[in-house]
Amino acid sequence: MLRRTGYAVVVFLVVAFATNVFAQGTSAKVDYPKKPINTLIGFAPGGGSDVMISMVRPHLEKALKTTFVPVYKPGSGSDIALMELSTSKPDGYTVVISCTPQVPINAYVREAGYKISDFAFVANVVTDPGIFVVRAESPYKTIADVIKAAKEKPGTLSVGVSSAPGDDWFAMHMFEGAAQIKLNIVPFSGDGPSWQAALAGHVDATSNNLSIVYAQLRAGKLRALAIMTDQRSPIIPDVPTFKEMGYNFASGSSRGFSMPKNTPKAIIDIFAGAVKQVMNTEEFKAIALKTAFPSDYQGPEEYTAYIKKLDTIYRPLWDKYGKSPDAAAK
Amino acid sequence: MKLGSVVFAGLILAVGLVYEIMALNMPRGRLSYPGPGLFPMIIGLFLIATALGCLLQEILPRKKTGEGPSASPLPSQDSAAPEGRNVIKTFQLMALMIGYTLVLKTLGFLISICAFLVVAIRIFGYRRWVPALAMAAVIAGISYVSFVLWLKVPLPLGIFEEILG
Amino acid sequence: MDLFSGLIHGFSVALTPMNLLFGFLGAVIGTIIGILPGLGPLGTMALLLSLTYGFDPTAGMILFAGIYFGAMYGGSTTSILLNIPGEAASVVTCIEGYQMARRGRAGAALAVAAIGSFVAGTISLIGLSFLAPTLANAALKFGPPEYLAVALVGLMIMSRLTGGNLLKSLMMIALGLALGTVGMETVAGYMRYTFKQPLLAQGIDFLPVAMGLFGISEVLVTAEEPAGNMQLQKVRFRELWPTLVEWKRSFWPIIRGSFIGFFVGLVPGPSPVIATMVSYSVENKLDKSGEFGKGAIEGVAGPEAANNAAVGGAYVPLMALGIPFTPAMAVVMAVLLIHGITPGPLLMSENPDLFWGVIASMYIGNFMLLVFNLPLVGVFASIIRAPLYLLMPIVLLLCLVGVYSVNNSILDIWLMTGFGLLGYLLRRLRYDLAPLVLALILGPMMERSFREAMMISRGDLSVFVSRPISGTILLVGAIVLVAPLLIAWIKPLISRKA
Repeated sequence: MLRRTGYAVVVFLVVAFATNVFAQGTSAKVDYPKKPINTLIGFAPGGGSDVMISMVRPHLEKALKTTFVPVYKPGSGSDIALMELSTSKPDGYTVVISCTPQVPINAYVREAGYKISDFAFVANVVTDPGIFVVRAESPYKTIADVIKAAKEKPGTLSVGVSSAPGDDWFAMHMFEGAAQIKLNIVPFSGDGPSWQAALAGHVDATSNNLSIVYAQLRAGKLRALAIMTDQRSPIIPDVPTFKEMGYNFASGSSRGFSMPKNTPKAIIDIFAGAVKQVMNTEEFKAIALKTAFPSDYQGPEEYTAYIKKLDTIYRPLWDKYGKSPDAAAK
Repeated sequence: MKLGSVVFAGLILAVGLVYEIMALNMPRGRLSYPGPGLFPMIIGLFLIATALGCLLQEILPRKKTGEGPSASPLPSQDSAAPEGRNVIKTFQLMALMIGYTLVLKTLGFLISICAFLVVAIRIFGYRRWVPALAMAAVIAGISYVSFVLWLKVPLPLGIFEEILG
Repeated sequence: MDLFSGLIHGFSVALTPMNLLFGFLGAVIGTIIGILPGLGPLGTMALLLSLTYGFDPTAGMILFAGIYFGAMYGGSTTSILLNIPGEAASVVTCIEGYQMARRGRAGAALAVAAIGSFVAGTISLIGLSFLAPTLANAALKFGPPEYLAVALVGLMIMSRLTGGNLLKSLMMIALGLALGTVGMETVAGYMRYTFKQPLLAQGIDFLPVAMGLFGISEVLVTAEEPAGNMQLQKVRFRELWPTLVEWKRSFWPIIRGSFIGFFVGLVPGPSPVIATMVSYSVENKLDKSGEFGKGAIEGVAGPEAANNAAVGGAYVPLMALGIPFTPAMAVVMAVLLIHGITPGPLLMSENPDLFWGVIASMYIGNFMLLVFNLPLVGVFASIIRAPLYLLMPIVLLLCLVGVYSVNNSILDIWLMTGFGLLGYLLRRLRYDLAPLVLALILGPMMERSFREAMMISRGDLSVFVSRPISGTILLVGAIVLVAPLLIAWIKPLISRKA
């Protein structure tokens, strides 16, 4: 009995090892990637990061001939995942979904446990523009109505945002500055609760992201008053931009891939190249258009510069509105 | 267990006081824009009040109230004769779990859990080394295949990482 | 397409061999991960998401529905057998279920849980098919003030949940609420009680706490018992099934639990947890056997029915409005997204195949789960016949791996170990464990809704009573809380006069 158990153990372990060795043997001849890539996700499943990785994952796995293992490290506005990445081996087998404005602003507003210089920014995938939305029954038909109401009773018109500091939160402060108004900015615990509160009439409006509210816009349950892009979005061409109405700000949330600093440039280029190739296929473009997935590919250099630029935009805004919760309320 | 109850309630009271002091040092904001400290402040007061209540309840001589044996959530365990208890085992098991957690990252899952199981099997009264080792190895192997290979739980593989990738 | 032709059409979609296979696969996977503590439907579905891209979206939805329902079925198994709640909704099941197992009625508890889940699942599906659009709009009426009202009533129920010493229960609630404030607060990102430990920033998850307090402390207590008592009560095979009396006692709790679960399940947030608590306290109040706390079958039947019915309730806002109230529902939604379908109010009219196919497949999946789970009752009930020196180390292994798998964090193993020791002490000092865990789950939601309500109303505390729904909830809660006291006070007065 005992001996038999012993043999069973040996056989079992041999099989376990062997299946792994063979699994590796089948990978392509190029140096990278030759094993599964761990993908750190800093938010709970179901958020924007999750949608982004789900959209590109099947295609990217085919292009890179590997698998992506999602590793959820939710919490602290993705800081936990970012911290994990900053201490990971720079071998290309650990990537993080980096989201703006959490990257770069978190590292500025609190002790985040990492520095922005710990990362190599590989490729941006999507930039989800900010959008100002009210419910279908709302009396506000245009941004002018909103501004008029806000001027009559300063600080009472309530606008839901996903969190503070989040892209929607910054956007509404920029709007307040541009239109010389005072809103009641209500931070929720995510963009979902924020638009749901607007839909149900618990708040007057929500500052949100296009892909998130798109289904409700299409069904006529929510109404978009303005979008925070430079040019009108091809997904909803009827909605005017804040810029064309004279309020000079744009906002959105970008999500892309980043690796630890010192990752070899060859690996970064292979990865970024695959992302670019995947996003250029007709199949991907068709799905992206249908689900209002606002593709925005940026290669390593462009993406790094973009993060730097955001850092210089958001820092003064945080200094102005975010230093203490009381300051934000005024 | 009366002394234990008094000490425990006192301990929670102390925790409550520290908690409340820390809460009072957080920005409370206003009612129209509650800060991070407002809710903890309320909870802290609640914790202090209830802990104080429990403490008094234990210290003051009380008349027979509702707390009969039937009111206890786990009657069967508490009615077990205390002298028969083997308190050493609790310490052994706690130490074992702490040990496992400490070595998990460096030794990796397979070795750590195997060692853990061998010791745990012994603590629970099985005394023969070789079968214990065999059982531990089988269980560890099965859990490795099912959790790491199938369910893709990213457990640390430690020194096995290079081989198993 | 009206309801009946819709449903019939749905069955014609769901009954294709391929979809039946996916339903079955989902049920099997769901049951397995439901049994393994820590691993939940959320992580599994996220892992399989990319795989569903290769299938037709209906098949993917059917697979995920099977997993989600299956996890609810499986979740009660470890609660009953080993006192380890694998998910928030099974905490309440531990209270009576584990006591039943200790008395040798593990088989009965598991069988009642399975059948209760089936009945509840079916009732909530009927609700989902016929009332989805109406109820979804009603669910939206729940804003922050209403959530707070629900959570407050939940706390009131909790304080009297197991009928122990009131002050001790209240202290456990306070402790649970305090633990819930650890970490980065959600509004401004302020760090609370983290002592500069970045890992604590994500807060204290309920699973390490629950698995430590219930599971680990159970192992510790078992280990200490003198060798002779160490064996758990053995189950004889012919005693596996519930007796006729036990069936009769379970019937009404299951029906009540189903309705409680479905309606509470419509409310976003930790609604299955609240549903189980409400059901448990209702059964406790109605109980005449005096067995509550010692393994009353009603206390298993009701809450188990309630948590399954709540799953059906949770699908209502998703299917009718495209609102995923829970992260798991958001992953279900992602199945559609990767195929270029945006779930929303137009889903039913634009993709009737998918909408009705999924609903019909849930009926089938629910039936499959029953067929699949009933034979397993015997297998599981006999697991606790295994020698303790094998069973207990395996239980510890499942806890150690399971708790790690939630956030892939070693900190959670430390937390579980620490709470294991705390749970051990609390048991020795006769404190209830459930209120602490339940308060930890509800606390963050309470704070969030309180702050949101205050910001929306600009600091006006009267919103909680002036809004009809939250006012009503609070009133009912107050009545439930005060009535027993009043009755206790009035009764002797009357009887003295008589």
